[in-house]
Amino acid sequence: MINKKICMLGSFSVGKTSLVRRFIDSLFSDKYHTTVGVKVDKKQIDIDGQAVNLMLWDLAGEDEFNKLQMSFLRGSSGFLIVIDGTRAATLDKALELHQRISPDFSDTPFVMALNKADLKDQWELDMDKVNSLMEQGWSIFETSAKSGECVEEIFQQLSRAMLG
Amino acid sequence: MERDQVDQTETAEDERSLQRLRELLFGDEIKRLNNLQVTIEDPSQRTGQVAGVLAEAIEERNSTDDRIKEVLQPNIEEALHDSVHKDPRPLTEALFPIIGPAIRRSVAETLNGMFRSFNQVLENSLSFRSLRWRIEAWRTGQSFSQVVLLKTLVYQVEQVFLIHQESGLLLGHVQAENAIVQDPDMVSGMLTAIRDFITDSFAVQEGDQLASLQLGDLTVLVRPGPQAVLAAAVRGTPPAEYSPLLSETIESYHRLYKGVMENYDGDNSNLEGGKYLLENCLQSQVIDEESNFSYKKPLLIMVVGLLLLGFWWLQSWSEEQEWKKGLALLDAEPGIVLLRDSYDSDEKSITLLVDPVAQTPEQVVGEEYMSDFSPVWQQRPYASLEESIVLKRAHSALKPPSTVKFSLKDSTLKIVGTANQSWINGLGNLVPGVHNLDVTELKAIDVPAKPVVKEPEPVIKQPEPAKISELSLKSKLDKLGKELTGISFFFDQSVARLQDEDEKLQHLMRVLREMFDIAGSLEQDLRVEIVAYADPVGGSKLNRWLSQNRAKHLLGKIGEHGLPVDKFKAIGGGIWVPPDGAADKELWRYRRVDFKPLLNKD
Repeated sequence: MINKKICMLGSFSVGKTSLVRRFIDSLFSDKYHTTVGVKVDKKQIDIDGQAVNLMLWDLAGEDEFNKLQMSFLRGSSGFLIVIDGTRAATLDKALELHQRISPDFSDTPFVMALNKADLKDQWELDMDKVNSLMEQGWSIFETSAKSGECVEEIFQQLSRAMLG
Repeated sequence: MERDQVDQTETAEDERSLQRLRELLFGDEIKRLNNLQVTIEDPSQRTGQVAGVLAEAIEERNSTDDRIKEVLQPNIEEALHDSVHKDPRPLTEALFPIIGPAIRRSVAETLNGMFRSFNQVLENSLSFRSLRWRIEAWRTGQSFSQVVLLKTLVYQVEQVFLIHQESGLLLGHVQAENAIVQDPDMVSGMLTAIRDFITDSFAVQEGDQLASLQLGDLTVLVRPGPQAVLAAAVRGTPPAEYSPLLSETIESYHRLYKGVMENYDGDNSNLEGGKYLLENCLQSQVIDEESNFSYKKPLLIMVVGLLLLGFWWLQSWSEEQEWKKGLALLDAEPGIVLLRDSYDSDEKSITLLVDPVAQTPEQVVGEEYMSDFSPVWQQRPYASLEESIVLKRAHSALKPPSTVKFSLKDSTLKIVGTANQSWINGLGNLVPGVHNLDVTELKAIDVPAKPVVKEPEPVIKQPEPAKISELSLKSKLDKLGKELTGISFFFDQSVARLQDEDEKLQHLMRVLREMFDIAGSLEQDLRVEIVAYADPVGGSKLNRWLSQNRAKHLLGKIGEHGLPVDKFKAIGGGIWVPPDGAADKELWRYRRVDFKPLLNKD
């Protein structure tokens, strides 16, 4: 059994918590987000016969009132950055977050989730920007908390990157 | 000699030539070699060179192993020792900035532990529990503080977490058998988040970390180390020595697994070997049921014991009273003298003087008494001078006809009535207790004028008058029988002795005597049942005992009046049943003795 810490980052209300709710073991209530600023959940997956225990630190979404507590990021082996496809600003925020963590976590793998894929007709994202990021080698997935689309794949992908 | 000089000159010439050749060939190298030699052999130059690379050399060696530390350790220790010995001031000054905080921290931790106990004492000082502790202190002879200390030390370490300092990942976890725990991985993460949250939220000094969390009687003690944090969830108040144990444990982990924890990659398998350290922290001091009830149990046993003792005492007391009642009956019985008795749990014995004509002691006390106590009788015969016994003895020895009555006064037996001459003639033998005979009122009924008259035939040959007389006697006996059944004696409550019933007794005796006389004349065997009763008040055992003794009391009275007691039967009838079967409100009517004549022809 290998233990890994993953932090989930993203703007306020991009669906980080909803995205993982169906796929995790949870012990603590959502009010921890607003009180402590983070909620720790657990997900166990299997990567080529190797059991991996993912401790998911679901951080409160950052907005103008709520600053990301950098100390929560310490010891992370991977990041899951979530974007709300229907709000273009969340992509900018995600990029900004990535910029902020990069100095300390330059070698730490991350994946990006373009969430709310079930509302794709309402998406406002600049897909050119997304495509250029993908060309740079970023792992970007279109996900839906509602349908569960690609959620498992995200964790598989991130775990492989962390173990690799 | 000349030859030698020529040789030396040639050699010197060769040497010079060789030297010139060397200078021509290696001039610069020779200079450098000479300089190098000077450098090596000159200590001041050599030191300068080593000093130039010393720091780098140490750094390089440290990166490969710890040899320098090991080599230097004794020297450093010795140097420190010598320094302190020589002049402690430099070292004191050097340590001054750190020694204060170190002491303060140590004192604070100790005081913190003390205050926790002290607070609990204050909290409990006016509670029911404190009262219980005070009673326990008084009972066990300990001081109150000792008892409080004992009680407040009760605790259980429910879980111990070893958490990676940086990532909050769980490195190790142990739990007590009976502890209810949540997923330790998530708890470990959240605990780390909360520690970070508190550290970030409150302006604390660099390096300060959360040391404990408290919720009700649960305390989470946290001992941070550079790479990992030890957290113990303790229910209750742990003893003072528990805190150092946690510190030692986290230190041991860092000593044993420093490298593993520094380069932690999420794999806990390399840390498994240290699990015993965590298990060692799972300590507890629980009040077991036994000690919890230590003051209740003896109390319960004491109460039960007292109840049993009380019951046993009551039982023995009532038994002894019963025993004494029997003794009182024996003592009151004419012809029986109670010498001594022994009331022992193993053997009960009674030593008596018993007149041969008196009732046997067994008859006096009754069957029930015999079965209850089975006393060992030690009887010695004696001649009683009590009036009733002397009369009984006289009856037994002289066998008077029913027409004769005996009475005793001042050891003189007065014989009144009529008897045949032969019986009168046989009166010469005195019995014990009778010193004189008074026969002044004794008349001979068949004084033989002639020897012929002594023949019985003429009497037999006169059947008619006899029959007439027999009929009238029978009718009289019947009448007397009815009169007897009409006689009842009544008793006070719980009493088996008559009070001032002399007149009625005299009447009874007269009727009985007359009946026995007539029955004797009719050659009929008259027997009388003395049936005694009790009222419904009190237990059945007491009532049976009372009724039996009332009957016996009357039998005694009858004996005292010289009537043949062997013709009587004393019966304890228990509770009286009124003739109509309905309950009688007047209880005195229940406490009675009735008589029932039974007539059988011989």
